[in-house]
Amino acid sequence: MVLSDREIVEALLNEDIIVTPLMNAKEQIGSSSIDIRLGTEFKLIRRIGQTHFDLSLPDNELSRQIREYTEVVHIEPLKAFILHPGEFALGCTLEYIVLPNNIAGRLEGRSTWGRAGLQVHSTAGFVDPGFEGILTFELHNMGKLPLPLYAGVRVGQISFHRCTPVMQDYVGKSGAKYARSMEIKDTVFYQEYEYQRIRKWQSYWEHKR
Amino acid sequence: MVNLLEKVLCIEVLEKMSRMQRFLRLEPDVARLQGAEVVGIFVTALDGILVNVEPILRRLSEDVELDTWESLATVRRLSDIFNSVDELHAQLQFIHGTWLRPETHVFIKNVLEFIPEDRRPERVSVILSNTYSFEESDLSSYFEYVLRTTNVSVAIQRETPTVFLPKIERDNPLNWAILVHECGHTDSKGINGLFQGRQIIPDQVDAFTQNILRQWAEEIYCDIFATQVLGPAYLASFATFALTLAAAGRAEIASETHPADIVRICIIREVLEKNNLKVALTEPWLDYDDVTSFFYDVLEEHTKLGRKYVRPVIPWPQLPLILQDFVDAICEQIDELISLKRQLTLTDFSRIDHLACRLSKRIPIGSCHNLELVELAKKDLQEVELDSLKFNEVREAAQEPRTLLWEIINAGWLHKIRSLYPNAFALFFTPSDMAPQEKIASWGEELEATDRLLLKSIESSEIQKLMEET
Repeated sequence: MVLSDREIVEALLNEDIIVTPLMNAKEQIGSSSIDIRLGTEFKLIRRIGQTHFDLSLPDNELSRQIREYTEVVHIEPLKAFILHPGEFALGCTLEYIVLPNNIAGRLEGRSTWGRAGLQVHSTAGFVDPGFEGILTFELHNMGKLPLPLYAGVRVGQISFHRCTPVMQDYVGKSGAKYARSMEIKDTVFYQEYEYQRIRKWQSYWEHKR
Repeated sequence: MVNLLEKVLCIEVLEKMSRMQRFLRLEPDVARLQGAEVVGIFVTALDGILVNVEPILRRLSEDVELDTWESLATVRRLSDIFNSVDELHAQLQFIHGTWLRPETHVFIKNVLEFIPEDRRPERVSVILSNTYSFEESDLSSYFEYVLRTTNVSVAIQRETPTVFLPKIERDNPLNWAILVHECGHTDSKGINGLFQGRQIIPDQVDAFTQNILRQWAEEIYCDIFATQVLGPAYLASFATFALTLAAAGRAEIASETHPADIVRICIIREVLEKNNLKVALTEPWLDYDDVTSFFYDVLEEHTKLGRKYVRPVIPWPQLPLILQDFVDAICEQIDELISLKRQLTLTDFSRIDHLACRLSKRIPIGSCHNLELVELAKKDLQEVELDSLKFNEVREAAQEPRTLLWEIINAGWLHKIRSLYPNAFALFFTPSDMAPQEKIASWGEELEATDRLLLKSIESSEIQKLMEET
């Protein structure tokens, strides 16, 4: 069940849900969501001289390759980050969010920005109960004009959904890769167990050959 | 706790090593532009230095009180180790692609706001330095000076006040507190005012001593400026900085430009006491009345160990007399001269404890609920029928007023003393099978988490200020 404004406020006051900084309650708390703001860090995809991520490499080398693949841009307050048409970038929320083990979150865009062609997430809008950290925006400019984005502007909103308490919250889960994050983390897909298996098999066949 | 001085000093030296490791690891362009080999050499050198810390860690883990000679030997050895880290820091000149954090500019901007507008520089530049020192310089005059040595005369008309931040302190807002002192140097009108009113330098001293005292007066002015801007956090930052440098044998002696660090700490403490802020930060496990006394004592303990090596720059018979009169004269006038836009009071510190608790839960502190309003709102929420007017009031209580820069830094120091030091003592000074490399990596993670929390807090507090200001 989605939480109403009254339930959201109650949860915020009791610190069951933490959304910090909550700068302007009147503007940010809607009837069933809280508007969230853009932070100062962005990650852009960079052209590199590689055709693919080589899974035969060890973890630290893969991680280095992925780091090379993205470029961190950190903007000062009042300085714009320009997202060009068709461009994709990772952004983050200014807010640090803590959810209890019986509330899940759902990240959505705001229609004000949607009308300008800005998409804030493409695939990962769900926030697990017990999550702690900043959220990552998958920013995509679908319009025809460059969009000037500033830290502190409200580009998204989060709604809250009550569930029965989960047995294992996000932070306690093994493999919770993005828990308590204060920055945009690079993908660590290669650490997922399926990829670990695939890499083992690849290495086994390579060795046999 | 036995061997407190040696333990605190050891932790501070290890922190520098951990920060250098992180600096090398986090610099995203280094490996790409220069090859992993360059970074590898630094990492190997740091590992080599760490091997030298191992016997000290083992000895301190035995929890036996060291006698004076062993204590002196330990401190001297830690001094050698810090020297080697310092030397390695200078070699960071070979690492390119370093960028300054935007939060550093935000920090400096907020500090400058304490200076009244007619005396405030428009902007202070920050440069990441290869040398492990915090300094202030007018870059324009420095360039003029450098070019003059080539027999080419160049006049750069404008002033460019610049502060230098050591590379490995790039992400550490707790030590940026020392930059506040450096910003004080940019208030040249205020500093000149020191010598225009009452005579602070006694007539009977010779010209050489007068010159020294003028420079000391400027340093004391900047110390008091930083103390009034940050309160006890400045003392904590300066004391740990002085302790590490003193380990390198540099700081317990007064120089021609700076009074001895222990004297400066005494003055800072006096100012805090005068403003009733000495007791603003307290932590029960320390066995001290307040955090200020803890740091003073550790530094005093260290100074006592090396006291016989002290060579005063001003001849001894004159020194105590001059110093007391001199400091009294400066302190008497300082409130009037510094005349900051805002003075901290003990009441301002009422929520520091709460903020430090939030940090220990790993929640940023750029803003924080007004706890009194929250309690009232909670009562209102118990009413079943809540009209929209009342609900608006309740909703307002969920809003978080922003915290100020000095609150963030003080809460950060309290968190370091309350949680990070005890964790580091347990990690490094209790016998375990963990290798020192693993220990330093684990300690580094804790430091990094705290840095990120503080940086995020500085950043979000600034954005909130900009969104609120008209």
